[in-house]
Amino acid sequence: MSLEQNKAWKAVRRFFFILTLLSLIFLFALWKVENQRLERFRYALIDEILPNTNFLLKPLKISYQIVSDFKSYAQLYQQNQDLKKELQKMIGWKESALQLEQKNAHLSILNNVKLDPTINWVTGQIIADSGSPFNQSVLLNIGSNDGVRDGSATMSGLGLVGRIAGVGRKSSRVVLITDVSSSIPVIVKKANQKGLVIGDNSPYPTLNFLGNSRTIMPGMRVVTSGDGKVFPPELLIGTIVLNNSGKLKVSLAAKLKEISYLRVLFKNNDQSLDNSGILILE
Amino acid sequence: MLNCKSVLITASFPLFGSVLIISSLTPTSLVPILQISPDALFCFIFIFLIRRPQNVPLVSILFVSLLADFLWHRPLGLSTMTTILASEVVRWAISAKERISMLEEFIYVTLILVLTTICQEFLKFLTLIPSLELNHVIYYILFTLLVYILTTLCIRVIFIS
Repeated sequence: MSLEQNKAWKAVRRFFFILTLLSLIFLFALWKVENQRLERFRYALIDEILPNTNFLLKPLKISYQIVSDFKSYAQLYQQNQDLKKELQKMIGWKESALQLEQKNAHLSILNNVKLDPTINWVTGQIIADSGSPFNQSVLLNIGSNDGVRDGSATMSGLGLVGRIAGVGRKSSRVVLITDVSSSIPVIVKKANQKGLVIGDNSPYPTLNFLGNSRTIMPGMRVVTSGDGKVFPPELLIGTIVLNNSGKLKVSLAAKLKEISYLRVLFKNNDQSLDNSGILILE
Repeated sequence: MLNCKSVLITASFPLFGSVLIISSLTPTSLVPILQISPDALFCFIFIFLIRRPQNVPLVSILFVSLLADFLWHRPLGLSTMTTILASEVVRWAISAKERISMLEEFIYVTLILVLTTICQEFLKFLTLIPSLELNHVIYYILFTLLVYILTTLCIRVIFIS
């Protein structure tokens, strides 16, 4: 290559580099300003890419399963002992629950209680992780075609896991309670104190903004308060624990380690959020 | 023949990069594991770039980084921008020398990782995007560097032996 050609090539390269940088700055600014449209494009892209690349994820998922099964076998004896103890406790609880159920049914009939029939759900499989340790979110294989709406609560069998923040046609993104952008209005049972459960990218989100934190004791149950009308009230989140520095944290009821399916709750007459991901930004 | 090999290596960068991005989306456990999560994509890009700059064009880095931004739900364009800038700095630094030593490589990569992370976190702060706590940022940098160094050493041992 001659010297002139080399110089011309360098100039073209430099021009392309500057153009790329300017385009990226523009893209970032556009994402910040016109977040909704770009997020829709992101979900359309994910809808196209992820279902077709499932063959790549499957072997990795199976390998992980094998490793975790192996770990589980190694602790088989201890697990067996723990399960036996738990079973003893559960038998007691089962008896109490049956009695309470009968009592509840009896009282409901006496008081002519009408329970809220409008909550519905759809269950989806987790098809992808966030890919980054800084975003605690997962992708479900159900989207707007299945009735999923932005802002809906997502539950495992045991407790609240997160909320929908972004819906594609065939997929939707769940921002987990543990994500740094998640804050949920809650009520601490027994103490009857309202507060916020705020994610901090750790397995135990922080309980904050309480009226009187002195009445809060470890072991108390935390449920959604229904304030803000994003989540229905009384969804179990977990129990209170104290960390080493005495800070109030929440031990989640949902076993995040074992979840493969999530239930998305929505009301039949639900007022869905207009802006995708607006909860994160605000 | 040499040309064909070069084309194959050039094509393998976006291909392996895409596989890396998609495979890290594997849903394993939802429990946050922030303290032990290095940035594998950063390591992949810079290990490849420092060893074979002629086979890693700007377009490939742009493609891989943008794909990660889209699929990993990162702020669009932000980390791509810093990666592109950093890659050009590395390209300029290694073009000035015939060969760089391992120590020099680690110094460059450390500086680049620290600067790009600070830059990203600062821009996130300015644009009101939730950013990380300082200890998380430090863990992220340390683990990424550790993985980078270990991978580089492995590559060296494999190729020398």
